[in-house]
Amino acid sequence: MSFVRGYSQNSSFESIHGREKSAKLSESEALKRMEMERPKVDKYKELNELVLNSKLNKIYNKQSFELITKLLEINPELYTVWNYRKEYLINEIDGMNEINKHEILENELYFVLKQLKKFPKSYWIWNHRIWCLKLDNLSDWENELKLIKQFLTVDSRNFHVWSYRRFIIKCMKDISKDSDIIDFEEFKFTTSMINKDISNYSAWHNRSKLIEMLFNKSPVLSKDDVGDNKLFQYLLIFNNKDINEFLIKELELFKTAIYTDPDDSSVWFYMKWLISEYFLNKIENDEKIDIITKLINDIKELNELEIEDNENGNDNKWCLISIVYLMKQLYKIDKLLVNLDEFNNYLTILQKIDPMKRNRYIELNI
Amino acid sequence: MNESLLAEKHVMYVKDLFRHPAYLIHFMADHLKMNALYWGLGTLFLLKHQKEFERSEVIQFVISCIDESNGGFGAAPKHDAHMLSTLSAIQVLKMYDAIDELTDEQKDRVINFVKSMQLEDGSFQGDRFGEVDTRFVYNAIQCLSLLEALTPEIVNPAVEWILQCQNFDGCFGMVPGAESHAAQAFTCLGVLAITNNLDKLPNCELLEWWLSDRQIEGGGLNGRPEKLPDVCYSWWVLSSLSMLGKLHYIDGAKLQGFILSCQDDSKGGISDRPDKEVDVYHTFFGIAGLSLLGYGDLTPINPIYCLPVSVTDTIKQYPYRFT
Repeated sequence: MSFVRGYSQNSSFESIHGREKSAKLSESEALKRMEMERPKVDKYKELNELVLNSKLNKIYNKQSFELITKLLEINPELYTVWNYRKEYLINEIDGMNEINKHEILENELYFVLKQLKKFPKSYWIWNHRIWCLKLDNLSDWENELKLIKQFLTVDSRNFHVWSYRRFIIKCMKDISKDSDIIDFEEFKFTTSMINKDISNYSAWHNRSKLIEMLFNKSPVLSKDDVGDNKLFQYLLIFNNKDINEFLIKELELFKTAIYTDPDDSSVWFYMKWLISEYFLNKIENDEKIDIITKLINDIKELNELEIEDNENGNDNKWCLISIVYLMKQLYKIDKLLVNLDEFNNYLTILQKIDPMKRNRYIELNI
Repeated sequence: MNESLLAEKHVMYVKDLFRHPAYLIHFMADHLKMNALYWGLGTLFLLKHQKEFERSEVIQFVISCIDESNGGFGAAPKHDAHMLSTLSAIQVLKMYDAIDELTDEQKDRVINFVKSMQLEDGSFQGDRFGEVDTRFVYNAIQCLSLLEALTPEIVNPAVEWILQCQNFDGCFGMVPGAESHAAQAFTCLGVLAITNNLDKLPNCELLEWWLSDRQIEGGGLNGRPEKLPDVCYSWWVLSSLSMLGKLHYIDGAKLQGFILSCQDDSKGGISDRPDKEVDVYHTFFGIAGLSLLGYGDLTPINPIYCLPVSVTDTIKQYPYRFT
């Protein structure tokens, strides 16, 4: 395809993130590069044509499988070639017993892993791994969890890896009698990820989902089963569906997090959820008032420390945003609990210290 | 640092991409051709240079990408049909007002392909191999809208499924349970907007604040909390805020400055961050963001469809009135 005469001199269609800028080539430099790359281009074109044509002709033999492998090792973004690989594998495992099928799919997982290590953010490769696991009834889930841990060590926010983890957990739950134990194990996992790095929003997100599930259904375990006393306390809270206790306990974690890094936005978003109608509707009015009032005081205290620490003596943006939010929630319970002058004063300060979002503070009404 | 849009340079940059391939990287990018054509042609439309390509050649190329086995469009000839490339193909045809260049049979087949990708729970898979993502629901709903083939049987379960993807922070993930991501705000709000269902969205204010908090120091936007800014979010976040009527919740002038600072003043094109390598994806979404901000005399863009307003003016609004 070409809609313009001549040869391209610069980049390709590839979407690039974070790569260093290249210089513009002159016409003679471009010609030189073209000449230099010609042997490689010819080889690639030949292999590409061969594979696409044998796909169209539905050829599923060892030789075509080797060519597919070779091409994907050079270019793992060729989704059509991954599809061809799937067609080949479906053909190969057709009629096989579970053990032989497992052996073939395990080899495939090995190949996929090699590609993932090179390209941990490729949708197609993760997708292929999930496709393999769905076909295999003898998958080793624990092994997948180990692998996920390694990937999260390299990049703790990679959303492909988190999605993959949720997929594996779902598979494990589907075949388990004690799916609530798995949920609680996952809750433990997010707790450990958050303790390692309070800024891990992906972990906070997962925690929110697990809490919803555990309030719905939680396992009954002994203190020895759980091991950690703090986690055992959480388990009792889930068992008793005690929202008030939960909020008190979870807000302790929140407080630790904001004292660790008051400028990190992750945990401030999480707090908004804790003090949302989702939980508040399930507790008594006086409990709500106690929790919110104490929280406002805690945040004000932190803000005072921030004002002292900040060179320019400014308030902390997230402290004020959160106080304003909490005052709004309090107002819904009892209008008399909120000092409107104070509320408006915070909004005025916010317009000054967060000028890019000035308009949303102007529009905010109680 | 650049303070104004290097429009001519960007036109040259896009044109260069659609010459004959020369290097290995050009030949290795087949899987993106159809998307790149939409981004490239979109850039030319926004810059009022839509005549740079020969209309008939582009249409011929698009039609050559039909996957005869199912009627959808692949990224390039001989490539399998996928929802991502199918939407780009239909968008390119729509920009040229060329949907009717498809035969009735071709139209019916692509409509059937898109509809056949819907799963029982209302979601859509990208192709027959089962990957599900809010992106593909958006692809499907916009495709069917451009082809005037939406029905309540398709729309209602899709909308219900989309609403399940909303998270504790008000934003949306790729599937129910997945972490919020600004690009998913665009796809989910887009589905709601195309199908006239934005009023079904709960927690609007929460989402509006979360989206505006994507603007960080320096004026650029990120896609998730505590991540670096990236030009493409100028589109995903900005279009979402625009659909919610809250474009003014962020500082447009600061964002404009960030986008312009990501231009390559020698090759043309726009990169994800200042002084990085440019690509057509960031070039298009950067200029699309500038258009939404009302910069210069760029062609106005529709935030829901990510197509010029002059193109979307002719779209039949859902729900359809039968006469």
